[in-house]
Amino acid sequence: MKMRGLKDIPTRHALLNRQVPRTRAQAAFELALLENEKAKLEREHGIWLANQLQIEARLRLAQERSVVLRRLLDDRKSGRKPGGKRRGPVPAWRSVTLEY
Amino acid sequence: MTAATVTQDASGNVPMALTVRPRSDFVDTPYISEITDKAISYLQADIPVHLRGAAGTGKTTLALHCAAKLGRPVMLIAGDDEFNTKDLIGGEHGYHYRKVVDQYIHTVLKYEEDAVQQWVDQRVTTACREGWTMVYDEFNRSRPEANNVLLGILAEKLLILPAAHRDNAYMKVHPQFRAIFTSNHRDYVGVHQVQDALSDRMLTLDLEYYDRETEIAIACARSGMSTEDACGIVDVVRDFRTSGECEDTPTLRSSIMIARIAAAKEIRPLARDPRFVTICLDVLGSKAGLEKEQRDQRVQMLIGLIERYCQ
Repeated sequence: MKMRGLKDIPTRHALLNRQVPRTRAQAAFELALLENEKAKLEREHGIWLANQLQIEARLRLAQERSVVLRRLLDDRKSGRKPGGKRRGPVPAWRSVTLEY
Repeated sequence: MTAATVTQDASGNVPMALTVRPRSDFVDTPYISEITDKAISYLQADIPVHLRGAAGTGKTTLALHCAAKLGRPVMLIAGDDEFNTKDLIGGEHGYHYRKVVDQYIHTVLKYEEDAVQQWVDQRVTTACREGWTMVYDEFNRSRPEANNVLLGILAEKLLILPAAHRDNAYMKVHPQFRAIFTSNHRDYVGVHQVQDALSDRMLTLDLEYYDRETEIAIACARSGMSTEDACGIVDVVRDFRTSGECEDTPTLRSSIMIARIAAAKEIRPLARDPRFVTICLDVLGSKAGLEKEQRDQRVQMLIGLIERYCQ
């Protein structure tokens, strides 16, 4: 609960008396306030969930892209053609054949 | 070739090796086998071998043949008067730039920039690191000071890298590294004297010209000519060589040239065929010298040899 002032600090007396509204009007008023707050919180919850899904999607895209780029860099570093299929063991050096 | 760990140099380059193998018509006579077996046994005992001989004695071919028999990749280096230590072991070439711009917190900018020189290995370093066979052809064409780095490699099995190489000042030579050197001690142009310290670290095998049978076999193999026809050509060249009546010594290459040209033109090696005589004079005449009178005498002698052996 957002603290606005001393009024918001409940006393023991107030806590005891607030549990049960004295009149029907008080109960209805409090119910209306709570319904409004509930609606507001549900809207906020919905927005928060939508944000979370959006952020997760963006995070997933960034992760996939970084994997592709990392593989590309590793391929270039080792001199392999990127996207090439590996057949058998990888040679440790480039070789030229000389017949004498 | 089996897979192995890639050992790239600082610039990330994958080294290149030679895989040597004999041609299908490679001639392996008892004479060649004898020298090869000797050289291989010394190399297997981790003794560097130096094949020394005049031009046309098969130094390079024998060196490559020995390297092929060792079964390791080959690093071939040709001696060059322009060489210095950097050309053999490596040096700093180019720069690696790094720039970092960090503005993770939008009010704070972190900027870093640095440039570092890249060390690039050259052939000797690569061969020492990977345990390849180094064939240093005509090594005495390089200046002796360029070859000083080999002294530590051959004796202490340690490659001393210059201060510019920041990672390691010393590199232990791979136990499978072997070195074969070739040189022509009779050439008087473009060669340097070999320093005692280097020749003391290797075993020198002196090569002479091949025997008659080997020369005939090689001439046949390299030209496709029959043995009977190649005999005459080889005998002419051998006699001209041993006569001493030549300014430049004709070698097995002259026999191969004559045989190849004759075979390509489908000319039989016969003295009565003027085309064949012309080929012989074109190939061997230049070895007779420049002075007209002397040259004419030698050319006449050459014609006599052709008539004698190519009937």
